[in-house]
Amino acid sequence: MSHFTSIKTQIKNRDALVTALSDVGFKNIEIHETAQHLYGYQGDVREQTAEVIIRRQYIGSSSNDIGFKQQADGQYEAIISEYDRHRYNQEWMNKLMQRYGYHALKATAKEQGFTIEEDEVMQDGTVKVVVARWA
Amino acid sequence: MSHFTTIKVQIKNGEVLHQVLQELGHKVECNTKVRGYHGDTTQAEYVIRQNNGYDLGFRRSGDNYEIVADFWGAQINQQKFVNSITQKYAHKTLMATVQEQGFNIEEEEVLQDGTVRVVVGRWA
Repeated sequence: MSHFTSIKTQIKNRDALVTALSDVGFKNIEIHETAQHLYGYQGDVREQTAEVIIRRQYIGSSSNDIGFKQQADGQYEAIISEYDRHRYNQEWMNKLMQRYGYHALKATAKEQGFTIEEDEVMQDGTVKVVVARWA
Repeated sequence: MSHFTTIKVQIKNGEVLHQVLQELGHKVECNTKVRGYHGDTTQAEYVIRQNNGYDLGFRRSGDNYEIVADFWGAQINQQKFVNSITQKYAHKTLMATVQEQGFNIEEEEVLQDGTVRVVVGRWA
């Protein structure tokens, strides 16, 4: 049985998280108001729960579910099994956090009355956003 | 009769609001009375004291803040006052998110018409 580890993240905005997960390739993402149990690769129910879940069948044949569980302070923790950490490692988290940051920023910009004028990914992978707001 | 008028504004974070008011050069007092017409008062979280005896207050109303004042007595341009605060607040909130999300500010300018334009970038 591959153990789950919890990884602290700076993620607070659930919608931005879900969009970021779809940006990095996940098309089937479960969103629950109440945290649901995760399952292991043999279909065994685990004690860990999460509000945002990618089920193992969308990850790999020997994979376990991946979850994001909201903590008391509002931030989400990523719950990923040791087995899946080989593929969904820190580098993957960094990429996810870049996409998350981008969507969270766009959400704030819109909320604060800024319009997004430009929005592009440069050749080196840098995300560039231009926002403007009139007085 | 009360002359107080309230205006709802898209401001949620009181600490940021407090900073904005101070940066705009206002003298701010916390959790005190807003003075209006004929000795009339009302309570607010942040209050700008004016020498003419008519104060400008900000108080929480649900998720947002509202401005409460006797604008007639306060003798200020209501629209201009509100705009100056909301623009600075919006800018500050954006900048906080920019930093929180690991973006760098590459460019920032104020155009002739008063538009604030910000270019930010973040590497993977």
